[in-house]
Amino acid sequence: MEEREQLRKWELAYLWHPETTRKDQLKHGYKMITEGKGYILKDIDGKEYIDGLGGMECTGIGHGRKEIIDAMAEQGRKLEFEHIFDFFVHEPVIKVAKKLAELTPGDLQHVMFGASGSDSVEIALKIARQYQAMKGFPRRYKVISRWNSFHGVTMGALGANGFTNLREPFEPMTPGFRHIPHPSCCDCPFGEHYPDCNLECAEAFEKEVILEGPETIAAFIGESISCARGVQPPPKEYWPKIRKICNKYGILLIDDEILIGAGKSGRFYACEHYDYVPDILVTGKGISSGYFPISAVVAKPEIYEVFQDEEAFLHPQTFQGHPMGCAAILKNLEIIERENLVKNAEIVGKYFTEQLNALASNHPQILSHVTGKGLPHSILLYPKIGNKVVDNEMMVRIRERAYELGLICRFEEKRYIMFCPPLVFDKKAVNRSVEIWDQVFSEIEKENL
Amino acid sequence: MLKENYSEKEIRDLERKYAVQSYDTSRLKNPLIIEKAEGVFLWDKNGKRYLDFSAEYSSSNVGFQNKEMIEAIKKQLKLISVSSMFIHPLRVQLAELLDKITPGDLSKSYFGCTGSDAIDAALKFARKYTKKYKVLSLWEGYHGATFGALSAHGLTYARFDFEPLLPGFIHVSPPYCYRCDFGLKYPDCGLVCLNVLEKTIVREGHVAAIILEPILAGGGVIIPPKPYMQGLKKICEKYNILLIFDEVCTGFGRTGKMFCCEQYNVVPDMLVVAKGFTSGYLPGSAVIVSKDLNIYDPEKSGEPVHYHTLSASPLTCAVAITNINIILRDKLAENAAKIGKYLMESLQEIARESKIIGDVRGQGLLVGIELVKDKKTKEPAEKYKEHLFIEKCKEKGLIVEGGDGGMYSSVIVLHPPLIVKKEHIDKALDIINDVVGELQQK
Repeated sequence: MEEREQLRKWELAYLWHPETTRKDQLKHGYKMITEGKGYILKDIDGKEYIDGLGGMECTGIGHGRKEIIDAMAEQGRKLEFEHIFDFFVHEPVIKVAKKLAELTPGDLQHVMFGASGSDSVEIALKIARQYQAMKGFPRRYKVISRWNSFHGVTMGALGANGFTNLREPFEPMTPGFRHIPHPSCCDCPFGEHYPDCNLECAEAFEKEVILEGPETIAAFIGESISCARGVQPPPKEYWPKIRKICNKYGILLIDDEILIGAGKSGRFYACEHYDYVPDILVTGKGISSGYFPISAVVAKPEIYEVFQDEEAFLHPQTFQGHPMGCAAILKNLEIIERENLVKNAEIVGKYFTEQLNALASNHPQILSHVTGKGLPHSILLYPKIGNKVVDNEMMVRIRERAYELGLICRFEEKRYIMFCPPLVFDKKAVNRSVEIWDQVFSEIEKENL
Repeated sequence: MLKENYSEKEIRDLERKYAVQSYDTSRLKNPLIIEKAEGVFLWDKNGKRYLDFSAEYSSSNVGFQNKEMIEAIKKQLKLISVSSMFIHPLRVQLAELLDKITPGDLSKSYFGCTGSDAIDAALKFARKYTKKYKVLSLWEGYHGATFGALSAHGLTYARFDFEPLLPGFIHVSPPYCYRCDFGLKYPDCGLVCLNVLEKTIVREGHVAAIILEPILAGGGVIIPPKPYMQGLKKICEKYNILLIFDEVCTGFGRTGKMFCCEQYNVVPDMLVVAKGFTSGYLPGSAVIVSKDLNIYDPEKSGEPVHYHTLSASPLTCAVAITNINIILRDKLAENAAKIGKYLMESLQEIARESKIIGDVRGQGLLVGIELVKDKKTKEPAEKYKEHLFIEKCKEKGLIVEGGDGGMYSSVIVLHPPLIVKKEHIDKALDIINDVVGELQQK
């Protein structure tokens, strides 16, 4: 039996995909990726694809960077793993903590490691609850987040997660999570049009706080720029306003930068675009460029200090601060700095916006909005193309056609096509991606208009 | 237009058509249609008389059709019936009366409409006062039907369809000595159940209150040993936890003392009463709290705690005051103690001779008869046996209740009005004796 047939058989027999049914797997076949280099991925047939998703939004430095593999291997040969419980510590974890503290804005300084994004969100939420209790507010247990914000899939993080389909089968959630509408200027949930609005999306937060009772709220969590239902950079006044409300009512502000952090937005952390500093910053994905599963939470000294005398913050997990993961982060950050990749994201990102806007004006009956910041971009499609309703089936078709033409991307929540390319993306890749989209949409127009 | 008189069949059909839930708690084919009651008796639509050893779920302590109660209602109706917006002298008077008749520091009162409502109030007071949120209660305990009360409730069948219930409610094994969860025998057990309760408190942390019935009535008349209750009080003091007694069933003379907690010499921080509080003449309940518990700040007007429009109405207060005065004057608690003892001893005699009674236990006029398949193995009787017992008693003119059925229980619960006389008891015993004999033959 040919190797790929054997693999496919084993895949169907043994592998449980995280969000796919076998029915869909059988319908759409498989995409077996064998190699990666920069922003290019190669499949088992040797066909090349532009990785418009950056390995599910995590790779910054691109695939196949020998340098980082070598750094990890070197660390592995010396000390593959040692925990950091009690008083144990090792060189890479100390160096990474210092580096991450330096990269975060303001006085964010104290770093705790996690193994995944969800895990780090859990850490941040747990810190918030215990911090409030230790400050004398045991009744402050609620967390406010936004519908359509993504904050992970574990039972605690899922409470903050704002996607009904991800929550519903597992309810009831941990008590105390409340959701407000999301800032989304291309399809405002309040029906307003920025800048002719009163920032109802931020005001909704204060209203919720007052309705729930400020003395019951521990924290607010949001992504500085959320990318889970299209890329949605909020108006520039949004975060300063949220920050102000948090200060007014004694609420901790948690910034989830797992997706947008590590340079993708054109700044190392997206909160820098908004001129505010969160109390806790959560990071993951891009800090290791996906070379190792590792994440981190960075907190302000005034939070950290509360746990340093009588009662420690307890979230012990075996793999926290894994030496090889830390080696990966260190090398990844070094490459990002050396190759000026955050700047690249800003420059290429601007070009990407221009090209996508041009694409949108070429297909005015299909493409409703292009939004983006730095490299992550999304295109919102109209609900109908001619008489054809843009449904899930249509979106799958669009995605699969782009894949055939050599571009990987995904779609989110109904009608958003989502890109999150690596930081090493260049104009050539932008041009080719836009060409592919131009072809896909032209075909759709021909069929339906 | 509506008819004035319905036939029995019409009533049953209309009941089935209009009722959201069944009022046929005996789960029998033809539940009674009751039209009249007096003293300890009920009459059905056909004029047949029944001795009521259920007293409408243990509420009718002074018996039905008490002239003084009816007069008190009439008199108050002519003045003002409902007022929760203003202070009323009867409310103050009732509170003073409760302060006098409750033991220890129990002193301040909240007035509610139902037992569940008062339980909810007590739970809310506990959270507000302690700033902690967890509540510990006992499996097999019965605490009411509203979401707060139901969360403390320890009878699975009543909770199941409505879960998830409130977070922070924890249940531990009851001191059910006839069927010990730990397979031990009192008093050689060293009260392991209490030890486990204490460990649970330590492990959980954040425990605001412990709530329990001093005798678990609905769960099958489970009577905690005296040292258990005294140890429980000490644990509450040790960990700064409020002790709430649910005396909805056991209060106002039922167990031979005004309140069941007096049987244990234990004073809770909150005492919850209903049922016998008004003898069922009007819906009414109360939470009497220790004088040291400042649940609200009298200087802050309008601080919300727990209100109902119809709670603490002057009408209810008039009824409760009259009811309590009758219980005191007629020494109904003493009667319950004396007559209850006679009932218990006689039942124990029947039990000794029988093959299907595993245990008879009680205090005053709250008595349980636990039916078993086998007295040695204690295997519980099938549920239909309990239903058959109730049905056969009914045929012979005696109303008894089944336990609410916790994990095992097939328990017949007797709690007649406190005015019951020896002749009534004898009549009931005759019927029970016959029924036991008939069931044994089957």
